[in-house]
Amino acid sequence: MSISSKVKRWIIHIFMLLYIAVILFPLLWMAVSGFKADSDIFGSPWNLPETWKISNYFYVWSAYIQNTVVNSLFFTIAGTFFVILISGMAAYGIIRFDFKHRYLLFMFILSGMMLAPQCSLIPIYKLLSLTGLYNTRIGLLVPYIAYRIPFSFFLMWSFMINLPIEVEEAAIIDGCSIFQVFFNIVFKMSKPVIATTAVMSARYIWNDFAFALVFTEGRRLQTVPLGIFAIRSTSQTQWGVLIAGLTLAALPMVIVYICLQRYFVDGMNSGAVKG
Amino acid sequence: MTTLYKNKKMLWVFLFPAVAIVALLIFLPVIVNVYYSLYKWTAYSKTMDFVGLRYIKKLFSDRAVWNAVANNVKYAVISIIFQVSLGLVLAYLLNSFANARFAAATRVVIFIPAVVSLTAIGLLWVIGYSPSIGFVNPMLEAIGLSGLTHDWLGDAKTAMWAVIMVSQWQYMGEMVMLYTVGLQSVPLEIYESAKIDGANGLQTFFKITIPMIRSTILMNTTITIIGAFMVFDEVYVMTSGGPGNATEVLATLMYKTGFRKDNMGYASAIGVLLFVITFAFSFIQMRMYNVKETMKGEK
Amino acid sequence: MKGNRRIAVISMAAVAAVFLAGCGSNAGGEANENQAQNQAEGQPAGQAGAGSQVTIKFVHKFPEEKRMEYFNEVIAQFEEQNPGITIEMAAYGDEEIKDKTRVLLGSEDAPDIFFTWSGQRITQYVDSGNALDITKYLEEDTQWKDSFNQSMLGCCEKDGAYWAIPWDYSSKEMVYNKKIFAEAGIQEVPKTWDQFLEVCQKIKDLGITPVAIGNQYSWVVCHYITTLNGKLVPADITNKNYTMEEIDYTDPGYQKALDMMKDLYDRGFVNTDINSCTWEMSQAMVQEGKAAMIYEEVQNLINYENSLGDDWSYFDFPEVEGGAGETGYITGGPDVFMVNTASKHPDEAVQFLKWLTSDSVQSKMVYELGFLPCTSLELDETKCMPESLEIIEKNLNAPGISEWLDCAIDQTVADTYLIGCQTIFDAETGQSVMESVTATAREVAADQ
Repeated sequence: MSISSKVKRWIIHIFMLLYIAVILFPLLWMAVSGFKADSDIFGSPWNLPETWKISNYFYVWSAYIQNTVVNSLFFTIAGTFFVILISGMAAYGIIRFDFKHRYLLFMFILSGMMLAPQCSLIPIYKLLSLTGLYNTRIGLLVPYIAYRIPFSFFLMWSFMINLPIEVEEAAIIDGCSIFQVFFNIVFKMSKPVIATTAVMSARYIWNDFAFALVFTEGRRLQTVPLGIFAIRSTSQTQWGVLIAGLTLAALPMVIVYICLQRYFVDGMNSGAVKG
Repeated sequence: MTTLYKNKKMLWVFLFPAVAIVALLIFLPVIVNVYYSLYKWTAYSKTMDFVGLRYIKKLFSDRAVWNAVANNVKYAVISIIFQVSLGLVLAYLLNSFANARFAAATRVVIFIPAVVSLTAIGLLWVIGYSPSIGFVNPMLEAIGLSGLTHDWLGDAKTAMWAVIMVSQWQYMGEMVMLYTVGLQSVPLEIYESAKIDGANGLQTFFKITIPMIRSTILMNTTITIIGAFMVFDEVYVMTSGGPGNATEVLATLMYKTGFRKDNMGYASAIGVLLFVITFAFSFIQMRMYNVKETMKGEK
Repeated sequence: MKGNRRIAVISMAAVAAVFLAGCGSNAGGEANENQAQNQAEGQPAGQAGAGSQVTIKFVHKFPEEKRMEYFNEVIAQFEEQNPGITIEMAAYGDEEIKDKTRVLLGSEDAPDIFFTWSGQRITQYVDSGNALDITKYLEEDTQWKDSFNQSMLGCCEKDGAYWAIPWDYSSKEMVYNKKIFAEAGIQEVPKTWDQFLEVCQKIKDLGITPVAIGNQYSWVVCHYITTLNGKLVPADITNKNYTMEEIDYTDPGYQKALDMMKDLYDRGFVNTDINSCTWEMSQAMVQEGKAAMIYEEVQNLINYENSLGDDWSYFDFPEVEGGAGETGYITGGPDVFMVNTASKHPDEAVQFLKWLTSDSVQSKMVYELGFLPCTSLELDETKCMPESLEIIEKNLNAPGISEWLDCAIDQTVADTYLIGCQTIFDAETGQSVMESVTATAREVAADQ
């Protein structure tokens, strides 16, 4: 390797390290400042806490985060489950069944991707009010599922279409019902795309703010993003507590991501985003 | 094909849930939105007064709406510069020049902000930008740019840019990831033959890389533009549209108009406008997937 | 100085007339026809049948920990005394409650009792048919009705009927750090705006921020403007403008109020990050001794006692020499509760409101939260913060009230005004802001 290209490589590596620093510094600052006492916050941002107030974290956990985590977990797990089930079934149906309006239905579900949830906040809110679903678990869960279906459907479709039909045919000859074929064979073979869809949906539902803001009220159904937003208005001047809350809210997804990052990359790899 | 797959009833069992839920919660609201925009009503009112196209017409003359559109456009332009363009450069550099393990680790790290909720990121940066307790100004001082220290979110001239930069910070890593996928699909032989022909890095980038991943670039561009018009959380959390209406975007303007200023009809009209814009770009995006071809090809 | 003091209702009578005008309500007729209705119904309020459990949904805007504790205790006591009734409470912060109340009232899950501010914030729910006319309950129980500070109750009156029950009220005072004042060599608190500017200069010379203003939510400067409008514009003109009887904001005082705030900022007497600083951050600045003064609501004074100890005190907002408006007015307004017309249990809801405004619960509120009561009370001085008591008494003799500007006027006009309260520190001037306000007011008037 020539000297000039070696230098080039060094420059690129250093530049990347700087960029990593820019990304990580605010996050590290957040984690550390969560330990600071209020008087400490007004000091230099470079300083470590004078005394490490672990109590900030314990307090914000019990007062704000704890009950929201349960709600967020419910919506994320239930939402992701139904998204995968419904999208998978639809994708499979479109691929395997032979019928006239196949393309039309395919486009119908897919076109859902074109409609931004933000435009529909008011009609959905009104729909939920009219059906008595406003501020219920189902009332928040169903819109979450709905807006994840088109994309997940496409993701799963682009994977399942490459599955060999022979395996299914053999199973059917062996006397399997269509559901047995779907759940025992198709879903099993689709594990990679299911993982991807799960991670994508989970990230979306866990982090959502707008739907939860408009479709729920009170502490009962509060999700994590609303919970930390509420800290600002209720903790008054306890900055350390607020920052600790932000850290705790960020942590679960970061941990999940780092554990599952391979799937994230795989998900990006799937045909849907490759274009 | 087996007879099981000809069973029409079974077909509906598989397709009905998705079709119904999409129809009811994604398509119906769009139509209802148009209907609602024809009435004067509030969230809590018991009656609705028909006003016809008054609110739709008002959209075109309302300075607040165009101010919001302008902010959405700023969002889109900056996002294209950073996420779409700079993101591509970063992805390319990582892919072509960096040590493979270093590159992989970098991609993982810079993606981290994208998995954290906008609410947490927004509040973090509200504090970060604060001149009294933040870290942005001290950071500038530390690198000798103390002349640039500023009340970033409080000054109407910088607030929008400050909010937009948070999005760049958060999502650039995601773009790099998306590009990496595209870049890795380019066959290595092409690069090698270019090298033999004596092309340098810059030439390869423009002559080979960009044309080869053209569709990825176009796709990322439309995703970014649509995202820029849908933006809500960041603005609502960081500035709620202020100072003045310096950071107001369509989605926050819609929310405020409906739930603060008690004009749900006009808010619905803004929703319709938002729909028209995002739909137009999504339509382009869908065309690029070229689904019809794919579907026919696979059949 | 020890012993109980009766904060008399009578001494408020003088204030009442002005209050009523300020609230833009029809002070005239009492709703006599309602009395007939009461007798016809003949049901004592809140007789929940044995065994049948009634749930009352109650929404307020006091989610802060200490305040929630207070409500939890008060509700527990109420439920103990009324085994048939369960209170389901939800609380939202200042900002969220504005959207939430609207959304909730439009839903199936609407609250029985909800919070609002006074002025247009009451009128909007009366006009939309969401607020229950509670006149009959007040007429039925004259002892309850008479227990109120009549001017505060008057704020809940519109078209000869009562639509809400006042619970507490806010008023504003300038809180200052005595230590910083002493350091700057300031002997006396400023009485006029000019003296105030001098004081600010001295503090600025020390390198300390004179006034902390956290105007990210623009109601903060709007409160200053409320006060200044009151001092610069005659009350009858503000009343006409605020109630849309007069559309155009032509009085020069409106512009001057905004320009004075701009001047204060331009002189460097306010933290430079005025528009990005949150209200909470500005409070923290004073509590941490980083800034000398803050225009604060009386119920928050306790936080300064806790953080600054003996080093804080307060003074009245400086008068503006030559101002065409009123002097000595309170800036503030009552926090009120309304009963939803859709409530299935209005009797029980009122019963709970009676409990909230009963002597024991109101005194507890004064002692524990430092709030200002809307009823006449026997207060134990030893349990009050002396400053609170002083202000409660002082307010009794105030000639009138400037109601929160953003609550007093139409929401859409208020929104333009609030935007102006931020942009004034940027390129705008008092004149250009008031032009936009007038333009919006005209638009709203044309739309009605």
